[in-house]
Amino acid sequence: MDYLLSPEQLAVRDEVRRFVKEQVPSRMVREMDQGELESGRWFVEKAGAAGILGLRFPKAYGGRGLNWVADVACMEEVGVLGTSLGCAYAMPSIVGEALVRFGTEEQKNKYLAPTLAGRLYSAEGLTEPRGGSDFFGATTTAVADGDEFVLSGQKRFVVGARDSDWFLVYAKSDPQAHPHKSMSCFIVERDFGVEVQNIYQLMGTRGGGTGRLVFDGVRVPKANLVGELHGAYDIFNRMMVPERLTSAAGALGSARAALEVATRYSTRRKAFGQTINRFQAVGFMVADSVALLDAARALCYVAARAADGQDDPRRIVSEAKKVTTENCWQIINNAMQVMGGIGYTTVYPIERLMRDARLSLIWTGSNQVMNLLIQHEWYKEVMQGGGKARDVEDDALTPDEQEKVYE
Amino acid sequence: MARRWLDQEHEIFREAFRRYVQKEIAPHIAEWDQQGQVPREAWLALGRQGYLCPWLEERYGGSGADFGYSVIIIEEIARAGALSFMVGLHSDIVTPYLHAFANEEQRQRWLPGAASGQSILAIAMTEPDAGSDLQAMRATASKDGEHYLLNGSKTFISNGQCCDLVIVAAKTDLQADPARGGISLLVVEEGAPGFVKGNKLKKMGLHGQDTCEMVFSDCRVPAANLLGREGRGFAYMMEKLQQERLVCAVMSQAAAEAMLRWTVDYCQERRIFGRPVGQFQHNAFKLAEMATEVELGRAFLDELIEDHMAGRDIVSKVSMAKWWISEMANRVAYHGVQLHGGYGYMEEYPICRAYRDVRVHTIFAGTTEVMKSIIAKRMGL
Repeated sequence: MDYLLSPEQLAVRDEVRRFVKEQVPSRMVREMDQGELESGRWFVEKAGAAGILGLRFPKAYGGRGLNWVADVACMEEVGVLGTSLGCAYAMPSIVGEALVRFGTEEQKNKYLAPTLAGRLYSAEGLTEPRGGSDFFGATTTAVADGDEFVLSGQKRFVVGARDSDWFLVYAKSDPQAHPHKSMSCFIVERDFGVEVQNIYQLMGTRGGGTGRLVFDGVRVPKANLVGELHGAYDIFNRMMVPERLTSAAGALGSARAALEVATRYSTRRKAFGQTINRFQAVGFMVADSVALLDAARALCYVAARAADGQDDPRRIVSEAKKVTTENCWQIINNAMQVMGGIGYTTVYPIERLMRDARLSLIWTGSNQVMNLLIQHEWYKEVMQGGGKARDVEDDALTPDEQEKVYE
Repeated sequence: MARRWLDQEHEIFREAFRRYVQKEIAPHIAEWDQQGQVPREAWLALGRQGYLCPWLEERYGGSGADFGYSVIIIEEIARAGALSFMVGLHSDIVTPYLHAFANEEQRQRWLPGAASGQSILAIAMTEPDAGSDLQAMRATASKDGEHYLLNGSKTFISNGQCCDLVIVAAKTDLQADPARGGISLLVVEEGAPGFVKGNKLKKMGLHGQDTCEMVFSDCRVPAANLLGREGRGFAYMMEKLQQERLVCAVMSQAAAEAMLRWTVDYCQERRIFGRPVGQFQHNAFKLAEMATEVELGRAFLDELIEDHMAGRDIVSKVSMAKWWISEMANRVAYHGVQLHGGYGYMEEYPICRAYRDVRVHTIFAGTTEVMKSIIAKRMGL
């Protein structure tokens, strides 16, 4: 689907494609999945050195001043490596969004630039043990004390917990206020005293050092407050754009990779005297998968354009995250079915992609949370948009206002 | 719903066996997954209690019980989440071959060990390039005096590493037309010269199941180990595949019921936005849908078990049950993980393991696609 990209965007996509092909040893992917390596730092260092992190951010901080469309195209390329490296690649784009839009010049120079250069390894602390979806019900607190804030609480499911240099952390700074006006966002260096208590055993997306962070009276300089005090609501909402668009675009890559493996396999594997791609059950499963992939990708590009625009892209980004991750899961599931028993073994990477992909329907806001947002925005739009277009209610066969009873 | 094939004695047995599973099996699932195998002692312990091959006649070490007891054993093990412990494969898929097609001397030799757990059984049909298309197998067995010389390789053999005895399908007549008429079954014993068990296969799930490859290089198998008649192997397999698929459907169904139970429990305990997860309409309706599918599977399967116990032809229906129930179990797993949220992705929750484990249910013992081919053929298509 190159129709949607400009020559410049195609060039950067091809650059990332080459990086993914030539700079990432299979051994590293395997070691991460086997838990022998619990960090994506090596990958971020390489990608930073290659200048492919945070492509849409200003050149002054190490980005390339590109846009979301280019970012989505590149994220798909990294997605073929699975969700663990996909997440490592996306993280500077996610935490960077907060710093670029809300951070001070000092914060951008001190944290963003070295992060995009791959010299600092970053992570975010959003989810708490009590819940992820109910974000503004967080219980981690930040209390002002002189020139510092004192953070207390826990964050869970933090990718990169094990060895990140700094964390973007949300905490309640005004517990009495309306939830949307109660939280603040902080840059917390590991060395401020962040503890890691548990590295999780995950179904997939392994090797990222996913763990639980404990803040036991961690003192954070006031200079590390991002944006306004109690103003994290806007930062959070904006950060959800890269969270969800990268989840979606990464899934495209994983699904494409699985589908290509299964497609090639089906042209070589014989059963009942012919290659299995000649059986309609297989060929049509592949066709369904291709259509699901192209539809998802098209929606991702639409969402990318929306994110590049001025309006709040929340609804279309949520749709892209939901539809893409679901389609891509289905594609990988189909790929496994095409491959049969061998696809269930570690001889092929389909089983890993399938374990990986399952997370994308849960993280960065589960797809049920996407539905909450989509319906909310849609109702708002429809209720506000009345009268702009033709009202087809008048085209009913027997329009009768008296029969339209609502109570 | 009353399960017509169950009487009171079955229920008493189920209670006792469930307690046994909770005490002796459930606590070890994670450990066995890590070891990649269920230890021999677990098999022997089952044997001592009479939980292996309960259907065998007493003279072979069994209890002369009906198939219902086998179903209960398979169900309870699956319900505990021990999907890697393939007791049903041993007791109700492989042992029946020996019982049905062996001569009396062979039965005396092999069956008591199967019932005691001294001898764990496996069956080797699939080859690296012949899975669904069984007739395309390449393994050969040529007669050499009082022996067969067995050559070839087999793969995806469940219980492959721990088995003491494996039934191997191989071609004794390469000229046979159709090719299936040249396939025979040989019983190969652990330690036979030229018989090598390959490494355990690494898989997405079923980590406690020691699935492996097997290689036979001029493996000398005594002619007395031929099972039944030469050239009848394919027919034997087709006959026994019915119960094999029924056993698979029973496993899938019990797994689905367990996953639903765990998910309902989680959704009642876990609170979000101030109330239990299960009280949100979306989640409640999702659980209602899952419960409906599970119940439909149960009704269909119970009727099938009854038909099978009555000796009726179940070829079409068991094929339907195998594909539909295994796919249904995967849907339950998928939504179960989703309703658990982030915790469903954590290895410490049983839904995480079950999700990985049931994925192969639509692939092994005849893929969903093979099941549909059988159904279509029987519809005259």
